[in-house]
Amino acid sequence: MRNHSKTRAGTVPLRPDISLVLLASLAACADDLVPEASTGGENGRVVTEASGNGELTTRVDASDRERWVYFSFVSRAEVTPDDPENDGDWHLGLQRFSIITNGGVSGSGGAAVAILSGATLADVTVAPVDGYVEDRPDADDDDTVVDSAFAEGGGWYDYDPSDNTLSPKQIVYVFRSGDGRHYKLEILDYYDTAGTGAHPSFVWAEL
Amino acid sequence: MEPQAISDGAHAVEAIVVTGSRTERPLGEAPVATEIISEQDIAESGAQDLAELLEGQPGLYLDRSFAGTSPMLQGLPADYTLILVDGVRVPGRVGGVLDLQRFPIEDIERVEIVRGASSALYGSDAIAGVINVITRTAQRPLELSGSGSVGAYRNIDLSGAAGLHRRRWSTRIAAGRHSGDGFDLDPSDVATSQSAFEQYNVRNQTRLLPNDSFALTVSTEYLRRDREGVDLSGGGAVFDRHNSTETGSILLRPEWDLREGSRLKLWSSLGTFRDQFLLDQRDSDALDERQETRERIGQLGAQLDLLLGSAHLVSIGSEAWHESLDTERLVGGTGDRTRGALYVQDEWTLSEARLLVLLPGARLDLDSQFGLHVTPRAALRFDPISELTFRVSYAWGFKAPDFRELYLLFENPSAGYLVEGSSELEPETSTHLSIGLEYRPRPRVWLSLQGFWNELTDRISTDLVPGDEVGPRRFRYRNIDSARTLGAEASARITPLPGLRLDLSYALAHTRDAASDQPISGQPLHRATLSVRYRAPGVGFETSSRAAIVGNRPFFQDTDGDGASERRDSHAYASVDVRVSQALGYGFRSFVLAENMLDAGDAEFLPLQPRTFSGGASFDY
Repeated sequence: MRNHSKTRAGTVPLRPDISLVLLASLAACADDLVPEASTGGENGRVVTEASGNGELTTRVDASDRERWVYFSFVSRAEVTPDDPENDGDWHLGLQRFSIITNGGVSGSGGAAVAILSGATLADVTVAPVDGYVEDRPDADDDDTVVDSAFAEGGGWYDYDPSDNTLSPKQIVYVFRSGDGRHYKLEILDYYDTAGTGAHPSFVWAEL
Repeated sequence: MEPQAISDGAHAVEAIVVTGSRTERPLGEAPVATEIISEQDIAESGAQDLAELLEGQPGLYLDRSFAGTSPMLQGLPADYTLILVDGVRVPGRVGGVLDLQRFPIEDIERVEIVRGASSALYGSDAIAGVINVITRTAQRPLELSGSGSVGAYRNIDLSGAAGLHRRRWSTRIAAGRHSGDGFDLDPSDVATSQSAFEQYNVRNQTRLLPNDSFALTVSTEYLRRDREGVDLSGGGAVFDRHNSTETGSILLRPEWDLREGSRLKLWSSLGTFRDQFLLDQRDSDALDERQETRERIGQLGAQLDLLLGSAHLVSIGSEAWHESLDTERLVGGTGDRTRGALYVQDEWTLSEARLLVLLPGARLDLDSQFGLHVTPRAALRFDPISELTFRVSYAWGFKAPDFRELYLLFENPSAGYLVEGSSELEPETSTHLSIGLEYRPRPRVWLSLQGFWNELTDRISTDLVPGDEVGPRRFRYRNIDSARTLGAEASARITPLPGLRLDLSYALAHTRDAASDQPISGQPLHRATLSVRYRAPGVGFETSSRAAIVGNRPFFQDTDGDGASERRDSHAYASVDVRVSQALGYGFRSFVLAENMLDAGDAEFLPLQPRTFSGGASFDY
């Protein structure tokens, strides 16, 4: 009886060895998960399309934290100035949620913006005569970005801390370029159609 | 005495428990109050995993979050409860907590719960209590068992086990496959409430007893769990989320019986955890995210239990522990730490006639990050008459800052906020006092009343760093908070007739977080449980019903953007489960289970599976 159990016991110590092999092979057990590539969508940092009524919709990929994306109402596209502070070709600069204009401290383009709170784009048919502001040096506030018209009154957006989302306030901005042309614009969204942030879009028309 | 009579008694005093004093003790003599969920309770619960099993447990609330289902004891969040498997730590904490759903029922022999600070024996994290899962060993010469169950939401559970038990060795191997489709409590958007899952697990436990005074236990486990769901960001991005986790562990535990009731125990274990987390944005790749986390925990321990005279059982133990974590979320992509500990405890029996036991103990932890930490405990048990047990415990507890709190650098890509760790953190500390009474007026009536008080200091919380930008806010972990929980738990177990058992409990947990001067988030003030079990003698019919009634739970969120959180309360709810089973002969049994009969649950606060019916069969040879 004693011999019998000893023989049986002798076969058992193999088990830990099997287990160790199992454990060692663990790292290679599950396949690596890889995201599937999505198609379509992205074809340039700035895309402008006609949206009826003579209005245009511009979508900007402003997600790069290191660079500003410069937009021109004339070319309706991205421009890439070598020296943005001394270049008259660009009108708006966008980075994440910040928007600057080519005027005041931001550039020599002579641009200024009037803020029409509560207005809709259709309401605005003529450019206001006064109330235009240029980009000013950053005041002693929460941010480090120059104080442009788009940062007036807490900025162009409402921030929802419960889900960290930005949504545009109902404001029409009238942009006056250095050569005296006027453009009305309304910000539509901070997110693209796939829900990615830092992809602002705005609808605009020349007045 | 037949086994049925033991568990039908008011209190299964013969059951062996190990968690409270880290020495094996019959439950009826345990100096520290220990609750036990026995093998039979487990079989009758119909639970498929540890989370379902603990659902009806008195004075324990299950928190359900993105990280899984985790237990909250004594009004404290889930990361203040230490979860052990066979007495050792296991890897795989996500967001500070272990998901109880990953522990399959076919591996569990019993669960022991000790409430209150137990850092004097177990070190970090044992502030609210310790839940120790004891895995199964083969008990009979030949064991074969299997179980299959199918239910709504395509919940399918299949498991099987085989075991051999001889005089000098035993071995048991169990394997299972568990899956379900998840569910969605808010069909108005694409996001899901609970992920679909698929799990495969296999575990072996082998014991060798080459002579009468030596035993070696070897446990190995491999588990893979995949979860899939759909997330929706505030900005409208839709993500297909896939989590794949793998856990592997090996535990070696040699034990020597020395002279006269003294014993030497050694243990060494290695646990690995790999988590792959994938977020695949629909219609874009901009926010796709893939993160891989690898965690490894190695432990070595020794404990000597010395019986000195007849009055002193002295336990001297030492543990060494190493943990490493590789994840992109940490600064430098990796973190590791080492901790050594020494603990001493004296179980001093001052009187055997009117049982009076004093249990002083202390533990010293030396950690590579925070240095030295000492936690003492003094517990006392006194039975003035055989029907009455009085217990009091005063203890310190601590919780080491975790890797996330130390080294995290996390930026939410879609929402725009940043959380960073701080290597300067100190452990959170607690002072615990509990006083308990157990009264057994008759063999079939068992009553218990326990009061507890926990005072927490140096709590780690995120603190807003004065920012330089409007959008992305910066948060940093700091030891800034303190909290208090105070409460009472009353339980009763009555067996009025053979085969019929009633369990009733009520728990009150008053909590207060000092920084916010509000209750601790998500903690119910009131909770009650009721369970009725009936086993018809001789005909193989069993039925059990259990209900958990949970009061309002407070939640805090800044919903209006003024920088201060507003309080919102979830509704009180009751979850009711009913199970009926019938023996079919030859070891076969069929069962029907109805879960969440009252259809409790809501998308915002309570992602509870809606009313579900399931059925199946099991055999046990």
